[in-house]
Amino acid sequence: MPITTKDFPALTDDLQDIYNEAAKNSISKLVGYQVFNVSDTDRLTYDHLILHGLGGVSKVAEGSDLPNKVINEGDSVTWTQEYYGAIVPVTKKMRKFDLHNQIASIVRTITDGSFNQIDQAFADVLLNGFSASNYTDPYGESVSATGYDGNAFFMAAHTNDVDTSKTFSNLITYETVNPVPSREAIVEQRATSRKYKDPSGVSRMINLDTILCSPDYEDEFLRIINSSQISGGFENDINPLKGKLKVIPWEKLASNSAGSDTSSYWYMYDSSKIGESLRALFAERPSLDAPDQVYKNKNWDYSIDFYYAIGRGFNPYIVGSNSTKS
Amino acid sequence: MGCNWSKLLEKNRVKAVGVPWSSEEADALYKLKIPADFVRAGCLTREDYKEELEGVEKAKEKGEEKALKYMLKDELIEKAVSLGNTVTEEATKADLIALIESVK
Repeated sequence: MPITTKDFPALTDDLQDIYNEAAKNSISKLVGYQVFNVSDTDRLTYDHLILHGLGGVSKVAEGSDLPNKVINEGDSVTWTQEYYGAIVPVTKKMRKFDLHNQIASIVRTITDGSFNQIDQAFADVLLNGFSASNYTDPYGESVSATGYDGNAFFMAAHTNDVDTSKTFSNLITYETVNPVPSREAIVEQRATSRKYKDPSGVSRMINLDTILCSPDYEDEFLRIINSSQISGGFENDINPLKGKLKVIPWEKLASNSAGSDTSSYWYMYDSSKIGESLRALFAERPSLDAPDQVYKNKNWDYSIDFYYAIGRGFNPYIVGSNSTKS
Repeated sequence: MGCNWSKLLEKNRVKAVGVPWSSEEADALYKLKIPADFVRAGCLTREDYKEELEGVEKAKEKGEEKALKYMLKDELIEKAVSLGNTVTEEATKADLIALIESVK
């Protein structure tokens, strides 16, 4: 039976259900939503301030005033909302011949596609984080790769405004920068990050407890982390890494939006602090909207749209290696 | 996504507005401690720096005017103004050098 204008409210409810189900399924599987600190904002431009360390407290003699700390300005960075969307057309043919399956498929595929594009945009931040050059995002747009200090997200010398002679690296380093995945590289980098000091000299421990890799390296990392003995070792030593790190395979890390093979790139982060490094701010979460006007003989144009901005924040809490396949 | 390029440039944390240091330049700056203006001039090793510095010193001894790229921002502003330009503190060193060279 044809779908007529009087069926419009029922069709809209139905499509909303399909959309909600597809969105729920997508979000539950997407890794980017677990890694990035996803929140809401009502600002078009979000000004984020990074304070690199204001020093600690001092001993105060009885009756004395608490000492003022010199407050540095910090580094400011602005994240601007961008608009994305697509029309979900319900054509006259679909309505006339009640092609409900087609209508549902269109909603499902566009919903799933939009959430996966967001996830790829998140992954691209990491994949393109080794160069300060612009890159192409999943929407085909050229976007800036620089962070708060004007550098690539992953770099050997991140600077601060407190003391420019004190820099930190968030490139995984073992014998050389950007090593291939190995137990030794994990151990050495975890020790380096644990000893992190802010520019004022205060030790602020970073506990790298999560590994992000493409599915190609999941097996290798799981063996390194979860074996009772040291994987590949001959001495029967216990594996001190066992249970200390979580391995998250992320299929979007296998290649970037430009199609380059990035499957051997890998990352480690501190799950309690990663939200300070990677942000996603939604001014409008993705939603399916019904058309305002319904014509008898034309497409009924439903729409899926959203506003969001990706934020590259303070980044010692995540380290990366753009190693090449060995 | 926008960082505060002029503020970063003021402290030589970037090469120019919109231009970060390359990894070789960052090494020269932060590991070899070569002054930023010399790194901008292409000195990436201590030998390059020593050679360039000697050239600057010799020119100074001869009483020649300092090359624009090694002038302080205040000196560039003074020179630009002396050439009849109106400039503000917001102008970067690169802008001032381009301005001076355009009227020379």
